[in-house]
Amino acid sequence: MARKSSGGPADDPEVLILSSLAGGPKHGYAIMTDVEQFAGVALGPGTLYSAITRLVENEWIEPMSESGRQRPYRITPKGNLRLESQLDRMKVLANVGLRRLKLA
Amino acid sequence: MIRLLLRAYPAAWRAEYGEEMRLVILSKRITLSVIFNVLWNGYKQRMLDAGPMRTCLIGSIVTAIFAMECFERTALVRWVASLIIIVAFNGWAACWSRRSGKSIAQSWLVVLGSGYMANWFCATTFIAARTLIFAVAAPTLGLEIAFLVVAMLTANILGASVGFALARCESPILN
Repeated sequence: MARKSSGGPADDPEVLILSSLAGGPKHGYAIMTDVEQFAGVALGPGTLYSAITRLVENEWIEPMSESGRQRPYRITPKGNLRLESQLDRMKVLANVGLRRLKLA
Repeated sequence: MIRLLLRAYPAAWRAEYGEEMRLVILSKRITLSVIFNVLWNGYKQRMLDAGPMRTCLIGSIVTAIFAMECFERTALVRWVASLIIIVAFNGWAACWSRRSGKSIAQSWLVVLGSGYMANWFCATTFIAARTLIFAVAAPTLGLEIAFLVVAMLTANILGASVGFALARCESPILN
């Protein structure tokens, strides 16, 4: 069952959306269901479109058509870099945390 | 009902994303959580879209109206009303400031500056609280100055905190 975001780094809607779009262009509903499947996080419609707005403004994703009822979005090269750096940071954090947990 | 919910968002935002979002909402079961999620994010979007001039103008007008309205009421009502207004106003200013890419220090300056403007404009916070304090303590210049500073800083820090929380958090309550 999908859970609500607990506010951790892995629940950040921007990272989740970028990760979803890294697998190919999708429209809003497809992003929402994809995120629910791979991360188990249920994004609300408001949260989803607030994050999409920010991602478009930062040029990390872009709509594939000017207008339409269900525009697909795709990740940009800038967005790829952003996602990579975010995931690298999370990886470092996870490695340090797990190592320290084992030592404790 | 969905169209009504979407009214929570600014018109320009609705023109860009409104139809897409309507379809996404339609695809979900409309629960209270979904309604609050849409309204909450709409409110945030409205705050983020407000420019500095509009923010100052609306804040000043609302503050002035409440200041006049509350003048005949009790000191406690005046205090609470002015605090709420200043918190909301500063929250708005903080959001705008964070949105425009300013540093946290710069944002604090904007928020404190706008908060002081609002406070000076109506002075309700000071007047209301002064009435309360000096009902039990003898007014001296030192006490008045100390009180003015504390009252204004409290309102501004509260306002700024709300603003930063809104500007930074994706959705602290609902997702």
